[in-house]
Amino acid sequence: MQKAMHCTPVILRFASVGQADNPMVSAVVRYIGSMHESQCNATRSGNTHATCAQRCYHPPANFICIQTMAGREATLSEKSATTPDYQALYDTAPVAYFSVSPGGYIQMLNQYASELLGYERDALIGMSPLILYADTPSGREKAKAVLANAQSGTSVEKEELRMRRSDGTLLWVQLTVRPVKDEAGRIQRFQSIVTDITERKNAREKLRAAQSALEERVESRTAELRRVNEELRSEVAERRAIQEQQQRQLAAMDAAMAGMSIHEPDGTFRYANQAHATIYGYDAPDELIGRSWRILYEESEQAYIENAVFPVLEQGNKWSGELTGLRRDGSTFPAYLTLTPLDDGGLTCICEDITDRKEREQRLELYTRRLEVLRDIDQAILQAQSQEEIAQAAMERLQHLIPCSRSSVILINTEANEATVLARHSTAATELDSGTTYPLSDLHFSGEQLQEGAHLIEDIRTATQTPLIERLQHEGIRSFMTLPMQIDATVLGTVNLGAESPRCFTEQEQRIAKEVTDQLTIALRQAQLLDQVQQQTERLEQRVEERTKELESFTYSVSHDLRTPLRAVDGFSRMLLDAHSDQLDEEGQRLLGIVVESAQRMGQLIDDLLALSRLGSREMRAGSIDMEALVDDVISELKRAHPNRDIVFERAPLPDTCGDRSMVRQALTNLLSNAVKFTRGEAPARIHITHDPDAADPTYVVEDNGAGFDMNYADKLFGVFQRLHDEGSFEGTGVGLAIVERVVHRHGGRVWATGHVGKGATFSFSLPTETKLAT
Amino acid sequence: MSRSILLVEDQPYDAELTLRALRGLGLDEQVHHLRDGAEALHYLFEEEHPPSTMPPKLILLDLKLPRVSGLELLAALKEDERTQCIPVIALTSSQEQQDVHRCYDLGVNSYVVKPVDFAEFTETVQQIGRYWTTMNQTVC
Repeated sequence: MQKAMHCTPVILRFASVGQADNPMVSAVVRYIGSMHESQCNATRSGNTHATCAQRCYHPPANFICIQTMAGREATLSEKSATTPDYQALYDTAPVAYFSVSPGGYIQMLNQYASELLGYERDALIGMSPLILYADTPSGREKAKAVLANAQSGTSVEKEELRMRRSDGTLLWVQLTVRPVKDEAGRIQRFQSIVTDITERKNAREKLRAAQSALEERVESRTAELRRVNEELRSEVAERRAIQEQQQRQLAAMDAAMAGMSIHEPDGTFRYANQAHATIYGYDAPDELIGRSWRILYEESEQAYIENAVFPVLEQGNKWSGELTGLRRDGSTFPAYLTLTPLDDGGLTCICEDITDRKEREQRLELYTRRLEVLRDIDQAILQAQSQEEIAQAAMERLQHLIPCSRSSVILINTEANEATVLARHSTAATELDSGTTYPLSDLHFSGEQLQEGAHLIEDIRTATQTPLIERLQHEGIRSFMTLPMQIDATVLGTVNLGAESPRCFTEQEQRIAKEVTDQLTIALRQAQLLDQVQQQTERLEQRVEERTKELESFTYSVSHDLRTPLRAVDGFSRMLLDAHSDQLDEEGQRLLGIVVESAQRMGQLIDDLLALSRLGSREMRAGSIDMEALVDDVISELKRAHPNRDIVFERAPLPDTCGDRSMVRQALTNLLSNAVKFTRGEAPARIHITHDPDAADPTYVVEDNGAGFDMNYADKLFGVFQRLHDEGSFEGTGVGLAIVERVVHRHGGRVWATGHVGKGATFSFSLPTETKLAT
Repeated sequence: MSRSILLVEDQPYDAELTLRALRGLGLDEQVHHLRDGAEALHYLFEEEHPPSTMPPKLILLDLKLPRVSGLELLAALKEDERTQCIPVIALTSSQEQQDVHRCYDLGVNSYVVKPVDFAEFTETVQQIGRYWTTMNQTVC
């Protein structure tokens, strides 16, 4: 503000004017708001440009200075037109008058104007009136517009503008500008009337402010009222909803299966639903309302609730748990309660009669335990090696299910008329230890009684006294249960349970005892049968061993001893034929020839038999067999052995197999020899060796076009010494095919034959590749 | 003259057939026939013909013999330094593998099965006699 004032120069007086070709103006200038005066020299160059000569504080001031100077020239020229008569009126009017030149510079002003704005009258002469306006849109800018408007020839009436006094204070004025024109209509000057309306304006502003404040207050009060109204309405709605919800909840609570109640801080019932009353044996909730919770529990339970439950609630926590409820009729029941503290010190209670659930839980627990023990017994039985161990395992575990101080398993041997304690489990000493044997008559129950089922002696003191009962009584047993181990009509023995108090076994325990007994019976029976089977197997094995030894020694004897006399028969017959033939006639020689031939045949028989016998006892040496190579080998051997026969061997591709190569070779040799032998009448003889590609195991087929056989006797083909042809046609001992069959069987294979008389025979045999070789 | 072939054979007919076969080679005169293992042991170790001075060139041994069996005799012969170099031929009817294996285990020099056929038998015995008495002099 200070600086702006400082920058606004006021020309006080002109000093000199330059020459005509270079007009030079020198003026004494004072800056508004400052007491400092300075001399300014300026040249005028054209209409627009001027240069400040010296001591000019601020460049823009130079320009204003020159403008000012130009205005001054005009003002000075017009000054003479004003008359002194009007001057007094003019000066004393309570309105500020300005006379402004058409160029926009103050020519005159009255006293009031100078007083109003705080300037010397002279100081404003020649100045633009714009400098008197505040530097705001409603000030100088508006004034510029007014001036421009006036310069265009129209009046401006009562415009409100902001002016600035010389001391910087602002005031509101009402401005009227009227152009004064000459006869030709040219503007001579502007007549400005400035009325100070600051006070009016301020009053109006204040009124307006007061009005708007009032309006604001009214508005805010209205809004507040509206808001309060809204709140009230929503609160009402909310309360209604809560009420409805409460009513619904109450209805639901009344209808609920679970007991529900609300208690006052002193513990009396504020509310209870029907279920709550019913659970505790009351007819209606009314019977509980106003009474204490204590009537629903026995004293001990009341103490528990006070000591253990209430502290939890007092901490603000919920409590859930089982309590024993007391019905009106004095009976008790297991109840499950959930208690929740209320803010007012009362509490809510949800309760349920869990009698059924408890029973189910207990039943389930017992059932689970029973299954576990039974399974445990199963396991123990499976691991047990002997009947004693089986029984012992069962008795030890039975005690987990049935509380008894002693249990035993007794085996009955009716043939020997005695009973033996097989196993025993006891918490106290007893004479009847495992292994003890006593006569059947000592048993408390007869065989017939046992066949009827389990026997329970509730109190041993009232039972018929037998030696056994006396002994048990002596050992402190009071109640006693005997269960027969029975299969069909046979009682293998008994399971006996004893307890030290009377009437100790519940029905359920009796059932469990029966279950365990049945299980044990089966296990013992199996063990007995297994023992028998093992004994029988051992006996059989022993017999087989003995028979095998006999057979071996027989074979050995045959091998050594049977051939010796044969050799003698053959040898000496030959000698007779060689050396003494002249002493024998033809018939004699023929007969002796038969002797020799028979001896040789006997020798062959013995050899074949021994070979067959050796097959049975020989150890198998299994390995893979290249069947093509093996067959080719046998074929070439047979060809060598029968150089004069016309035989066509055809060997198709054959799969490999596994087995004892020398045995299989023997079988192949026998089969192919047979084929060679029985095709003696054919030329050429055809022998095909193929395999059956469809068979699961490698299966080989030997087919010939020889004499064949009658299928009616096919079952006799492989029997020892069985021959389907007479000795005259085809020689042989009848052992070859028996050997084939034995070899194939020892390899786990199968051999069979098909054929027709005169149309050849087909022999097939399989040799599994798997290791199912028979030993 | 010392007999250079010992024939240990309990069966008289087999012994006779063996002798007849060897007769064809002119060896029958050299055969000393003993009827069981016990006789053989006595002859070899205790009689007036100690093996160290006059060992037989060949022993033909039947296996199934009374008293001391052929296998027992064989074991004794092959255990004793004085006799272990004498060639022993098992000449037996047995084709049992257990006999064959046992004999070779004990160190028999050859195992020959007696054929039932007389011609074959004669041929076999003569082959043995020829080989072990004339062609094969160094055994150990």
